Amino acid sequence: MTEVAAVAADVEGSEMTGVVKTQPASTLPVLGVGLGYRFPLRQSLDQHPESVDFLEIIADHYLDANPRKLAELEALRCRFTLIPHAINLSLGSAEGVEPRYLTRLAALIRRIDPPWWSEHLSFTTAGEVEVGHLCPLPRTHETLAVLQRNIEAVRAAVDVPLILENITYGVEMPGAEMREGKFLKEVVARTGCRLLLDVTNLYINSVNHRYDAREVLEALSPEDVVQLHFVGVGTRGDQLFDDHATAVQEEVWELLDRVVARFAVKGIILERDQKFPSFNELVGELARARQIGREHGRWD
Amino acid sequence: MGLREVQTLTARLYVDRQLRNRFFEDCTAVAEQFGLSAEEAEALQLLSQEQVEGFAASLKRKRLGEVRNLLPLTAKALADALPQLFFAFAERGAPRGIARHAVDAIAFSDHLVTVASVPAWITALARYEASYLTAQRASRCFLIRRFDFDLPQVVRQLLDGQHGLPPIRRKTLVLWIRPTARGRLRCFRFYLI
Repeated sequence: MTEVAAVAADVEGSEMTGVVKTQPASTLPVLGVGLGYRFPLRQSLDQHPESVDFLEIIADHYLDANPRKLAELEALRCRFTLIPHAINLSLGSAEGVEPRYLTRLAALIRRIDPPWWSEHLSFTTAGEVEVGHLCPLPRTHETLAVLQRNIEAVRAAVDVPLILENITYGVEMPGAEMREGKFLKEVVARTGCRLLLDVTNLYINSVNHRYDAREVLEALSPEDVVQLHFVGVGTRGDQLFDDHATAVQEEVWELLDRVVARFAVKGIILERDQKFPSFNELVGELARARQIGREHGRWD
Repeated sequence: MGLREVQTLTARLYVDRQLRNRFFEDCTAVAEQFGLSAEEAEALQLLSQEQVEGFAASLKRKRLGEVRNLLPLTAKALADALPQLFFAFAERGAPRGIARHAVDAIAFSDHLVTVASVPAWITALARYEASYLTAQRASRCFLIRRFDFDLPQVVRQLLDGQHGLPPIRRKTLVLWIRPTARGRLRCFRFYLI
């Protein structure tokens, strides 16, 4: 049976507790452009480490790892700057975060010693059901209070800046009290965490739910976004979805360019998970993203 | 709206087809069963059935994709039959824990043995791949499994596209061993006379 954090409290009628001080963005290093690390890419990265500036690893792959897997992680850490990207902390869960998971995640992050790490604006577990995917949150003040409380608990265990990713949502949760841009801005203000803006997810949501992505961007300040994700978009009927299996389309490149122009991003990750093309093709997409960053003065 | 209660309900909706059917027939009754007020139940009526069904389907597709990666030979052998078999299995509930996908794959392999329409050589292949997953996850391992088919020959036929030919029955013991936590996992096959 999953233990539930004791920090969970009744949030009915909870008041907004105001702005939380955030670590200055200027203290975070500029990393550049990189890949989400996946095992099929290992050999190519061994042979061409110069093709990436940093790597993002899925934290969950190393939480229950045997010594050989941990040795793999150590070998990566020695050659690359690693950013841990967690999946199942369930920061948006009103029940609180799962303490054993948090403990193991904190140990992993200490081992890696990254400049930041990331998780999602979602929940994955509720009522002892592990959904197995990132579930949408209603854009409400209650949700913001839950996020703030959970992140305070996480901060007590992990003394490394946390950035938060926007997810795609197939289900529009009823009862929204604010639009997506305002919600993300409130997340930054209430939690003290900056954002991992997934450009592809933003594009997918804007098409599927029929809104202008620029509205979200204009609600945020230039220092609110630290890192980006991008990848191509899958289609199923008239709906877009994040299959992480497709080359980047021009519409995503255009939005990426717009985002990099507006926000002082420190890093961009190409998040390809499956149906890998040649490594040269991935390097080509990285090069284009790197050039976009260069053109907007994000790095040399 | 009580976020805890809403999340408990929606999490169950995403993974439980029977509950979904009941919810969209009578949202108020199901919502109240989960501790939501009448007012909150009324708000949840705005949940789109199409969207919820779509998300539920995507969860099963995601699980199928992971199982396909973890049981690649079984997936190849089952071919077009795999999705239907897996989705029927997936109705039993979602796996739990950090290693949920491996747990799912191993459970699916166990399930295939109970499906009469799945040929015995495919269930043997599934058991073989599931056993490898079990061995791989262990820090130290000494795992023995018995099979009724010449598995190397079965795999060769499968990869050569010749799985229409009758697989050779041959009692085989397979041993997976990793004596130390940092050691390599080694596999040995013994044909029984």
